Order: sequence, then structure tokens, then C-alpha cells
Amino acid sequence: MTERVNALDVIDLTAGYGRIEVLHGVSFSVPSGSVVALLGPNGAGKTTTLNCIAGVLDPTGGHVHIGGHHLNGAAPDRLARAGLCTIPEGRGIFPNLTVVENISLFAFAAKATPREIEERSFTQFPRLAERRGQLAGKLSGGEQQMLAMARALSTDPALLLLDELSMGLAPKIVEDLYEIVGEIGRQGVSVLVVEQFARRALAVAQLGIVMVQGRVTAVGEPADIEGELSAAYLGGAA
Amino acid sequence: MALLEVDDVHVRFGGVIAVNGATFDVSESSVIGLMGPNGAGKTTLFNVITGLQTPTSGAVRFEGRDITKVHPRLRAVAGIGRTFQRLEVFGSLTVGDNIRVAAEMRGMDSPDRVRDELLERVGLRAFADVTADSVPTGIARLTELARALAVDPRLLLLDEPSSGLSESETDDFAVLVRSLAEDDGRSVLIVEHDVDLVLGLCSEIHVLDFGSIIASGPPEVIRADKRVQDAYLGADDEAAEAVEALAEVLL
Amino acid sequence: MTDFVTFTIIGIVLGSTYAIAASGLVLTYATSNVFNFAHGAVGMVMTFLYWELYVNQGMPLWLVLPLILLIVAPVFGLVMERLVMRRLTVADVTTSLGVTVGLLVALIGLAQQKWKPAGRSVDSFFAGNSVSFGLVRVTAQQFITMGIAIAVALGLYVLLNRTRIGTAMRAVVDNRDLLALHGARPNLLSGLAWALGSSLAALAGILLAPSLSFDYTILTFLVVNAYAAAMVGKLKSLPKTFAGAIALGLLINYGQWAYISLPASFVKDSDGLIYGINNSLPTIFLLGAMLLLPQDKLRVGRIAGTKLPRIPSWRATFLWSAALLAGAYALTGSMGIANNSRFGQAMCLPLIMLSLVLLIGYGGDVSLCQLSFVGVGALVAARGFDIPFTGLGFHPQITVLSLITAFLLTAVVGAVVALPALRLRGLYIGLGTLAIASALDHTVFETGLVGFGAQGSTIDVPRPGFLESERSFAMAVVVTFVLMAWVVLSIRRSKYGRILLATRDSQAACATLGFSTTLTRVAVFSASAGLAGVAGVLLAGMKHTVGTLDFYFFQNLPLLLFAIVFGVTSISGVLVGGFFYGCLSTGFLLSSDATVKNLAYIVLFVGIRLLVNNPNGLVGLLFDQSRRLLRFRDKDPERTTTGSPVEVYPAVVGRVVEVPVGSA
Repeated sequence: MTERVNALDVIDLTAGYGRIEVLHGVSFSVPSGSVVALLGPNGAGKTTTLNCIAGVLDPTGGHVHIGGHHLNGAAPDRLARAGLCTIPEGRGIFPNLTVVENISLFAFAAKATPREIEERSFTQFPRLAERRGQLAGKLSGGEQQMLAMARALSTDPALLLLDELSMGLAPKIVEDLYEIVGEIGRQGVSVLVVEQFARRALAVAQLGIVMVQGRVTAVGEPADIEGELSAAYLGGAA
Repeated sequence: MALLEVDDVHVRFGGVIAVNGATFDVSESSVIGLMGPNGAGKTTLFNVITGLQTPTSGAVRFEGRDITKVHPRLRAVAGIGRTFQRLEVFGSLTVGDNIRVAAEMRGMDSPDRVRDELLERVGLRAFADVTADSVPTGIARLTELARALAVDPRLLLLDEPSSGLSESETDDFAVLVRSLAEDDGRSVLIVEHDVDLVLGLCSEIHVLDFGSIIASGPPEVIRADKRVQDAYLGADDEAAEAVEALAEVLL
Repeated sequence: MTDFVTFTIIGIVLGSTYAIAASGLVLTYATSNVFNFAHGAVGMVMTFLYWELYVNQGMPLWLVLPLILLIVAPVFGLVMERLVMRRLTVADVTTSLGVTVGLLVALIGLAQQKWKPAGRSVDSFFAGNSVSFGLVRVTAQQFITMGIAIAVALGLYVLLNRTRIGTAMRAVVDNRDLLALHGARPNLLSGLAWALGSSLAALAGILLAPSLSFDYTILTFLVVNAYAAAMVGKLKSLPKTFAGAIALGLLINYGQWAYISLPASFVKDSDGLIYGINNSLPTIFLLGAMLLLPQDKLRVGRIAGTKLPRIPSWRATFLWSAALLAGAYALTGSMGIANNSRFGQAMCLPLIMLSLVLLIGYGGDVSLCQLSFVGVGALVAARGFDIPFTGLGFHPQITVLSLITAFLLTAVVGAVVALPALRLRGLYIGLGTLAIASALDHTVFETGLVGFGAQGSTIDVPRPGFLESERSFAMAVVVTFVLMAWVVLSIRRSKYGRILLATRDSQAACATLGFSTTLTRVAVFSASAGLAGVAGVLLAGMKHTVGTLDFYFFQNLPLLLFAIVFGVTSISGVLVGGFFYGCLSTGFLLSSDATVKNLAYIVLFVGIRLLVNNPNGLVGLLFDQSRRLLRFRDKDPERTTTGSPVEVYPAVVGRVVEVPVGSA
């Protein structure tokens, strides 16, 4: 078998919170170097899937392989140091630390020096440099998301997981952020984007996966899954 | 006069605007839905109505009275009941006692009768003596609903009532909620992500996006509304421009 | 003027040691969300170790200090974090309170075991060296203490604000999971905080040692003052904590100054009006700081429900009661006077703990001043009671009249204590009630005016004629236990019991039903205090003589510990736990040798460590196991209880199966 190893394989994953099972056997793959969008309405289990991959939540069954290695149950910090960059839902920042202090924490998972990381972050987002001494919690929503994204850009991850990048943000900003995601993808980083604003994410993705009620209902190229998407979001789907 | 009026409510957390001038009414004996994508501000708005969150500006009125700064408990006394998305049943009491204790807390006349009637109505008679901690989610949700009904609210707020329910449970739930409005004359406000449930159940729906209400109307209208599709799927380029203009202002 | 400067300097020096101890406390609380009641005990053990190595073994100071501060204390902190504290970050307050109190008690037990009570002292650093400024003399030790406090403040500032590790430590507080996603090791950071915290506790203890006698509890509870300082910074802000510590140090010393300046008749005699105020200044400071804390917000989010033991049927209650009475009757008949006296005194502890079943077991609140309520009850029996200016009242006695009075009086005291305490979160309720207990010691119990008189003095309590013998009085205690247990069980069965459990399970849900939980909580606090007061009357009678030391605030800690470990949610739990504790302290059945007692503390601590996930205690665990065994023999009962819905409503249950149930 000379098949190329996928960046991520999720196989028959089940998980839940307490008594409520949210994922009922989810399987999909992220091919190396591609951007994949994981789509679906609220409550479909997208974030739960992501949490299982990132090591934050222990799955009740199934497997997660990253770069071909079986990695169920590894601690999130170990995965992060191994090159998995996860930007969680609702701004992955520390609101009570300043911008520059937030950036200094990126160095835990990077080979680059703290100085390099700071430089890269500020070059990519000059706006953040202007506000380096400000508390991150006082930034606007868009700036907070930029700060979170700066981690992905400055630490050279092998696999990037992005959860609800667009949550509560204006479309113009979301568009900018997705351009950056596209750029990251072109640099050869494998990306899994969890998103409910499907069109925006599909614009930069090579593959789309639709989830409904804890199950994958469609996998395909962006153009092929439009129909499935409407049904998933606005009713009519089983 | 509407039973509940939400008037130009704004909520701001640091630099983030969670609710941006939401205005809507809930009239008597109606089932109203509040939907919108993740992060649209549904939960925050819901907390403003129940009193767990104080709005930055704007007002909430119940039966014409301004309750914006009234403690959650007194809102309940005034006739606003609610259920919780993350269950808040009294876990060490039985299902039956969950209902009975609600009536007892408010010093109602015959708590035992209230319990028996409500157990019958929501179909939980078989679970009356089971500890609430050990029943499945669907049963626990019904327990919370029955408990809220025990104190006879005029307005009932349901927070994501279908999460954790199976399809057939959701159907039964819809029938029950409809009867609360039609038979008892209560009003129900549902925050829910299950679009099918909301469209099938509510007489009027308000769609929230970026903290503002972008569409209101009966199910047919909402289903056909382009803005709603955009809100959920992400805007098409042409449609996006209008929203972008707004976004510039917000930033 | 000279006095003023002198007391100011001593105040700042004292404040400096509080600041060092308090900053360690804040550091650990902030990074792990566990308030370490045993912080002072760690300092105490390290201080004893310092004495052992430096004075007793004669090792050089340059070796001893680094050994303790840089190796032993940090390693101890790391081990504590790894074995115990890590599991507590998500536990409820009663559990984490119980565990850290258990650690405290165990450490004191350990110290008493290793270093038998004896006169010990340590010289000041550079003893005899001092600098004079006019008439004011500042010793080298005082300079060093202030210097170290400044160094600690600066060091912590640099660590937290200028280093990546420090930034990460602040980030842990914000969002532990997110920090892990950044690739940092949150557990390592907490471990570091605990290592640093216990080092700072040791440092504070060592600096205080020369000016204090080596006493297990005094050293341990000096840190109560650090709690007060930390409270000023809401357990979060280090600068405010430092400011609070210095303010407290000054307050105590100005109090001392006033104390020696005021007329003796006013403050020094135990009959003096404000006698004891001086000693309770730190606790008054603590209470003041707590009153300034904002009211606890209503929160959604239920602590995972505790499954309470089943209520026993009336028939079972009756049979158990009869068995207990018959057993006690037979036992007391077979023993002599001395043993009957010990048995009776041992049985007083279950009686006291019954009041905790109501408060902690059913109500979910916590109290560390229950024994003080017992003391108030004992006072009624020992001193009689009169209502000023009315001529109404009665002499010392043990009668229905004094029982009723004790109940009412302690219930009122309980309500007064509850009103400020219940505004706050569980942890602060624990701290606040402990502070109240300590304040009651000094301002009530130790006075001659209304209390027992200065420490060590006791008052005789007259018994009624028909209860004169040890056996009859011991039986009276047992009968009272049975009657009070019935009262507690009837409350559990009633509407009030249901409301109590509902309040405990979800205050948010109660509010949305339009019910004020505050009133319920005050009522249960008050009723529980009343029951403790009744127990106090009987304890006073059983002991013949009572004094301040019987109700010393520290005793509240083992009381709570035994109750929680054996099961504070059931009558049987407190009967076994209380009786066991009673036997240990009276020497009934067991040797009263301190070794046995201290070993028991250590065993208990291990017990509570195992019980983090079982709030019903050892007895609860035992009952569960025995029930499971019985079921194994006869499978039917289980089936008929949980299986009945299947037969009645197959359709409903068909759906239940679809929803996964994680119950196993």
C-alpha cells in the first residue's frame, strides 16, 4: 500500500456529555494539505467532534488518527505540542491577559522563538501591534478572532482545527478571516474548519462534510453538497 | 397590549455586541419561536427576559409592567416560568416530588392534586416514583416542563427543549406545547435550534442574527425568506453587501 | 509617639508575615480553584521540621533553610497537588472543604505524633542585633522579615507579569482547557503553584517561630489571619492581599496598644466589658472583609446531584430505635460508673452531628461553628438564663425549660450568623462560620460576664434528681438522640424536607419557580443551630463541668470531618461517625492515648480522600454494598422497582431505550 497518509482520520466516533450521546458513529478524513469544511446546523455535533480530535473530550468509542498515528485519549497539551493547533469556538483567547501576553503563550507549542512568533503575528495583523498592551477582552470581536488566528499563523502547525470562526462576526471580517484560512491551506497546512456559515467555508475548502444530528449525511466537493446543505439547515431532511 | 414586550434590548460584553437592538412581542395564547445561528445572541436575549442577564440598554415589559431590573424570582411570581437547556431538575427528589414541591413552594392549595394532574398530562405517571437523577433526558425535560406548569405561569420560556430528545419524543413534545397555548391560554416562547420543530410549532418566528432580529413572521414566510437562508448558510455575495454596510457601522 | 512608632513597626512586620503566607494561599487558590484550609498546617509542620533540624539536630542554618524552603516544602506541595488537589478542582465545596480540613487535621496529628508536646523555641535571626532610631529599636529579625516580604512581593510580581510561565499561571485561571490547546501543561503549572505556595507557608511559619511558642494549633491558625488578608483581595488580587495583610498587622498591634493603655477594669479582667475583643480583631477583620464581598450571583449549572440514601420506613425507624435503646440499656447496665460516663459523653457527639444532617446532608450548606452553638446551649444549662430588666429567668438546671430555652436561643444566634454568611458562596460560608466560632470563643465563652470564664476555668452543671446517676443520664442522652433523629426524619419526609432538597439541588430552578431560597437556608441554619443547642444542654449535664476549652473553635474541624467521612446524609452515618469520634475523644472502648487518636486522624484523611466521589460517606457506601449483596441473592426486588414502567407503558420505555442512558 503506497497510499498517502491522511492528516486526520476519524473512524466511527461516538461521544456525548453525561447521559446525552451526541455523536453516533462519525467517520471522515482530512487528506494531507487540504482544507476540509465540516458543516451542519446547530446541535449537529460538529464542535463535539472537534473536541474529541483535540483531546478535550474523551470519546466513548471509535478512533482518531492524526498523521496515521492512533491518538485517542492523548492529552490536549501533548497533541498541541505535536503540531495540532486548535482554535476553539467563541474566541480562543485569554480576555484577562494583554494582547502581547496572549501571543507569548503561543510559544508553548512552537519551535520558533517567542520573538519570531511575536514578529510574525504583528506582521500578519498590524492592528494587533497597535493594541499590544491592551487587555484582549477589550478588543472588538474581529480583533479577538485575529488574535486567535495569529496562533495558527505563527506556530507552523501540521493540522489546524478551527471552530466556528465566524461566530458573531460581521461578514466582511469573516471574509477576511477565510482568506487567511485559504492562505494557510495553500502553504500546505491541513485544515479542518467547523462552520455553520457553509458558503463562506466552502469557498476555501476542497472538500465538504455535512453533519446532521450526530451523523455524517454527505461528503463531497463543494458544488455537490449544496442541495444536501439546504435540506440539513432549513428542514426537509430526515 | 402584548403579554411580553422586548423593547430595543442591547447587551454588550467588553468589545463584543451580543444583542443589538432586539425588539419583539409575545401576544396572549401564542407559541412564538426565537431562532438563529450559533452566536446570534439567542441565549443572551433569553437570559435578559428571565433576568439572569441585565441588558446594557432597552427594556423588557410583562403585562405592561417594566421588569427590566426585577429579580428572576419575582418575574416568576409575576407569571414567567422557564425550563433549562442544561437540565436543572431536583435530582434527589422523585419525578412526582419535583412537581409537588413546586406547588408546595408557592403555598398552593392541594399540591398532591397538582402533581397527579400534571403527571397525567405530560404522560409521566409511570415515572412518578423514580428519582429524577436517574431518568433519561427526555423524561427529565418533561419533568422540568411539568414542574414549571405546577406554578401556573402565563408565559413559559423553553430553552432548547428538544436537545437530547429522539424524533418521536420531539413530536409528542410539540403536541403538548401546542395544547398549552390552545387549551390553557398560556403563551410559550421557544428558543430552539431544531428548525423543523420551530417551523412546525410556532405561529410566529423571530430570526436573530448578529444580535438583531432580521426576520419575523409565520413559518411560511420565514422558510422562504432569503435573509434567513443567508443567516444560516452564510450570505451570497450580492446579499452580503447590504449586511456589510451595517457591519461597517458596527465595527 | 514612641509607642506609636514601635507598634507601627511591629504591625508592619506582623503584616509582612501574613502577606507572605496569604500570597501562597492566593497563588494556589487562583491556579487550582481549591481553597487550602491546610495552608497554615503545612507552614506549621515545616516550622517544626525547621526546629528539628536546626535546633534539635544542630544542622547549620545555611543548610536547613534551603533544604526546607527549596526542597522539602515544594516537594510536599507537588505531592499534595498530584495526589489530592488535582481531583478537587471540580468538586463541590463541602467535599473540598472536607478534604483540606482533613489534611489539616492529619498534619496536626502527624506533628503531634512526631514532636510530642514540650517547650520549644528558636532564636531570632542574628539575635541581639538591632538598630535604634531615636527611642525606637528595630531588631535584625524585623528587618529581615520586612525585607523578605518585599522580596516576595517583587518576586511574585516579576514571575506573574514578566515571565511566560507566570503569564501561563494567570491564564490557567481564565481557561484551563484553552491553555492546554496552546500546548502548555496546566497540571505542571498548578503543581508549580502548589510548590511555591507551600514554600511560602513554610517561610511565613519560620519567620513567625521566634516570636511564638511552638504550638500546633496556634501556628496553624495564625494563618487564619492570612485568610483574612487574602479575602481583602477576594482571593485573587495579590497587591490587595498585601495591603490587607499590612492593614491587619497594624490593626492587631494598635489593638494591643489600646489594650495596654486602657484601664484594666475595662479590658483585662474577664468581667470587663470588651474583654477578648483584642484577640478577635483578626476574625472581626475577616468578617468585615467578607461583608464587603459582593452578594453571590444566581447561577445556572447544577452540581452533579447527590443521590441521598433512601428514607427508612417508619417501621424500620422504629425497630432501629428500639434496638438502639435496648442495646444502650443493656450496655449501661453491664458497665461501671466511669465507663457509663464515657459512653454517655461519646453518645453526645452523634447528638451534635444530627444537627449537621439537617444543615449539610439535606440543606447542602456548611457550618464550621456548630460546636459554638453547642457551647451556647451548654451555657444555658451551666449559667441559667435571665432576661435583663424583667426579673424573668431561671437558675442553672437541666429541665425541659432549659432545653426549650437553649433551642430558642441558639436558633436565634444561628439565624443571626446565617444572615451575613449565606449571602456568600459555600467556601466563604465555611470561612465565615469558622471566624464566627473563633470570635465567639474570645468575646463570649472566655468572658466572666456571660461565658465560662477565662480559658481553663469551668462551671459545674447540676443534674436533676432522677438523672443523677451516670447510667440514667447516659440513657437520657440516647433517648434524646432517638427523639431528635425522629424529628430530623420527619422533617425529611415533610414538605419542608422536599423544599430543602430542592433548594440544595438547584437554587436557579427554585428562583424560576418564584421561591426565595434565602429564607429556607436561614431557617435550616437556625433549626440546625437549635438542635445543636439542645445537644449542648445534654453535653453539659453529661460532663458535669463545662468550660471554654470544650467548645474551642478548632474542635469544629474534626467534628465536620468525622461527619462527612462517615456520612452526613444519613442518621446511621452520624451515629457511627459521631460515636467513633466520641470514643476517640473520651477513651470509651478505645485507648485515649494520643497515638491512637493521631493515627485515626491520618486514617480518616485517607478515608476522605477515597470518598471524593461518594458524598454519602463510609456508612452510605456500606449500605449500598450490603444492598447490592442482598440483590445478588434475590434479583426480584430490583426488577420490580425500576422495571415497573416497562409493564405499564411499553411505548414510553421503547423510546427510553433509544436515548442512551449512562447509568451503570
